[in-house]
Amino acid sequence: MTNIFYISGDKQVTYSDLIDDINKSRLYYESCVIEDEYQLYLNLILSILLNTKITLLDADSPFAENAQVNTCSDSEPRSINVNVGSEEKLGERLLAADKWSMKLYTSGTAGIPKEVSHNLKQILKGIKISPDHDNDVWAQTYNPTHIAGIQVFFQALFNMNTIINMHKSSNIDIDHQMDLHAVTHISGTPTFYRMLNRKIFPKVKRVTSGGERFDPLIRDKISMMFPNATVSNIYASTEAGTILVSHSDIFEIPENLNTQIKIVEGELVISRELIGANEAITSGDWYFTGDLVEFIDGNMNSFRIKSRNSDMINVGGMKVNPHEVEDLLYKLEGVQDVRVYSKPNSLIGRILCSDILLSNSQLQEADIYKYLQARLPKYKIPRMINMVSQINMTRTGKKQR
Amino acid sequence: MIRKLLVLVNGIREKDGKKPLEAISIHSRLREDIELDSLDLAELTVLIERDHGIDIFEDGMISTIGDIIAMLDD
Repeated sequence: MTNIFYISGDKQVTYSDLIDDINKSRLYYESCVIEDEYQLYLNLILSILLNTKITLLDADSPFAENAQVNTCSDSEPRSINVNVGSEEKLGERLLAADKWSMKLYTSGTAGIPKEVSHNLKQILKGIKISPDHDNDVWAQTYNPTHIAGIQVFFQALFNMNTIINMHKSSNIDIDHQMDLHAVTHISGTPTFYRMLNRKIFPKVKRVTSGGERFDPLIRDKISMMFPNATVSNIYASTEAGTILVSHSDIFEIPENLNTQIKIVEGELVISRELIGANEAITSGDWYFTGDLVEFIDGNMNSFRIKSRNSDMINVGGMKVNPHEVEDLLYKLEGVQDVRVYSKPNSLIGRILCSDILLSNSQLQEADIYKYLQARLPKYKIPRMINMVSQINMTRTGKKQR
Repeated sequence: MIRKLLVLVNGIREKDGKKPLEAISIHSRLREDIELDSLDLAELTVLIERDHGIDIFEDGMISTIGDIIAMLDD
């Protein structure tokens, strides 16, 4: 059977086609905005085969201003002539790239975007290469220039699997492609899963969720939609890649990492040994993630990610965790999705707002306010409640706060 | 203008379960007479800015309905 590397709509590229394209490539671009996903993957693969550096930029990145798009009329493309004989040789050459490094920029949701560099060893620690994964078919729902998308890409590539492009696909397209290509593995943010139609996909074997809090409601929806799948909740970041994996919203620090991951004053802190190279983002030997945790039942090794430091909203001196408000709103029948955020206010600093996406419901603003009033103190209730047709996201598919 | 402001403040009061006021005047004090707290006032600024493009609290405290009207008339 022909081994397919990549599918996007009607476009299909086999591994044989990929090797032809690799062998025909005469120019390599170290830093370039490439909007065509296949071309982006091809350039990334070339960087590994050339055992050289690459910078991944996407068109939304503030660092993409000076980069050329698609045509890559970069001032210094490199002439190349790569010869890969077969799929087997491709795999061997990829694993041998000991000088390869990839530069990324963090999403900036926690502040100003930062530059992070990863080598192959760091990327490989987050993926599994084995014959058990020979026939996996991956749905790529992430932006492929971001760490989550990169990890899906590498997981698929190093096992010679198929990647189906579903980034920015509509729900109807996703439903169709999941069935058409018999997808076995899918990875996405909780917001991605929350937005999906409630269709059942019995062929999916593995579901991973990451990038946002994994609440019980989303876990229930994933279990319903993917009844035969193992579900994993991933804690990862651009700086560190995948750090922790759980089957629920509760994480434990594995024994082999207990000298490299710790909790300091309620914040998750990671050893710089686990972080992609960047002097600026670590404080001495440690990287403070900005993620706040709460321990489970007094067990100092089991915890849940409570919020990001930067997610907390200061309303007139009172701190509000937007996730707490969102969790309550998800329980209200008729609410499909919700975003709680803040806007500057000259009187109280920040005013709490919410965008509500309803699912065929007649709920009014007053109903929502009354519901929250019965459950929250006044300062935690959004003063501005907007009914919307879609929820605003960041470049990485997370809710804009 | 006073009628429009009455509609706005009553909408905010209703959220807190307070009865709507029948009338307000330029002397009505936002906190003491209309019983708006800081969160209510913050909402009021957003609503007024939405309708008139002016942040009434930008330059300092506004205490009465008359202060709001004066700000909007400037």
